[in-house]
Amino acid sequence: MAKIPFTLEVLKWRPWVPAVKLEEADEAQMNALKAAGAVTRDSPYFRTLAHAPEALSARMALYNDIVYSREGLSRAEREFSMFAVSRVNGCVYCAAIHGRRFIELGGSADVINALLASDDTSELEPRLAAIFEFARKITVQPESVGPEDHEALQRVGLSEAECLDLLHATSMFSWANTLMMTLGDYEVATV
Amino acid sequence: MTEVEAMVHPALRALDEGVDAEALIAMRPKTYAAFDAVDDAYVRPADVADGLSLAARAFVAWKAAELVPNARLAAVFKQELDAVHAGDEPAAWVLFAKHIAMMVKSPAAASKSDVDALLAAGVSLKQLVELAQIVAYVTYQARVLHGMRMWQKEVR
Repeated sequence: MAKIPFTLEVLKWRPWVPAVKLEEADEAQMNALKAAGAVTRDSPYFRTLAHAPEALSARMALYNDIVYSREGLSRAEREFSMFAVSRVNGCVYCAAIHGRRFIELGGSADVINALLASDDTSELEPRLAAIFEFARKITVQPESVGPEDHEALQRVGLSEAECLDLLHATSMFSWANTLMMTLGDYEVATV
Repeated sequence: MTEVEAMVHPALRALDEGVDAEALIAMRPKTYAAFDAVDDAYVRPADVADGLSLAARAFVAWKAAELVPNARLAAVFKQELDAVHAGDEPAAWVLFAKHIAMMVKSPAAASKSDVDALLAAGVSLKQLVELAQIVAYVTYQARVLHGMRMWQKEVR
């Protein structure tokens, strides 16, 4: 894995294996790539996952529900939580994308830049700090999560549904980061 | 979770006692339906074709769950493995175990040579990606199960 520091620059991900070529994709692979939105918009990542198309299709139904749902936890806070997991896991590529998305959705660029430089949340406003710390705990000490973590989130105003959405989004990013970091590498995109 | 509930929700079979799964599923039914569908597709697909065998899938899931760690989930996958496989572990599984440990414990240290080692041992691209997806899925599943304990009531 390229050892570049955390960044908000646009990065390019390259697989360590040959990806499926669109013109050679069979029906199952094309269906999976369509579910991933990766036919009109090229994605070496999804073309790599398309080697196991049934797995990709099943994954996209769950992923899209968790990441893009308009109910419960706001899109911005969802992106923040996915950024947080990526920061904790050291997935530079995912942290860049989801940090940018949080900012595009109205989140503070100063907050993201500060967290890219240091993952200390002590100066962060309480709700984002609680979300980041939950993301950290579910990532590095999941076996210790329990009712006290629920209380911590409720104290900053998360509803039951928002807590559940946060759990699924942060857990899903363990899945996403693991694939990104172990199937390929990334570099700064050049024009 | 009762045995009947566990059959209907395979993804939640390793859920701790004292968690009202139905209440949480009712909050997000689409999510939990898609979650169960992934569990079935990844661990017990109807047709493995030229991909990983059912035994290999259960082995991969078992090892990944042990490492997250989620002991209850690991026990569930070990039972699934024992149901489809008896006797010695194939030599390829030793290689799988090494790769799984890297994926779960130190993914940031992954390199192309890790992937090349599996391909050199005869693992196909399809099997490699299936293995990666199963491991990564289990890291999600193990965490959701741990996290659902946020709603755990005292077990009497």
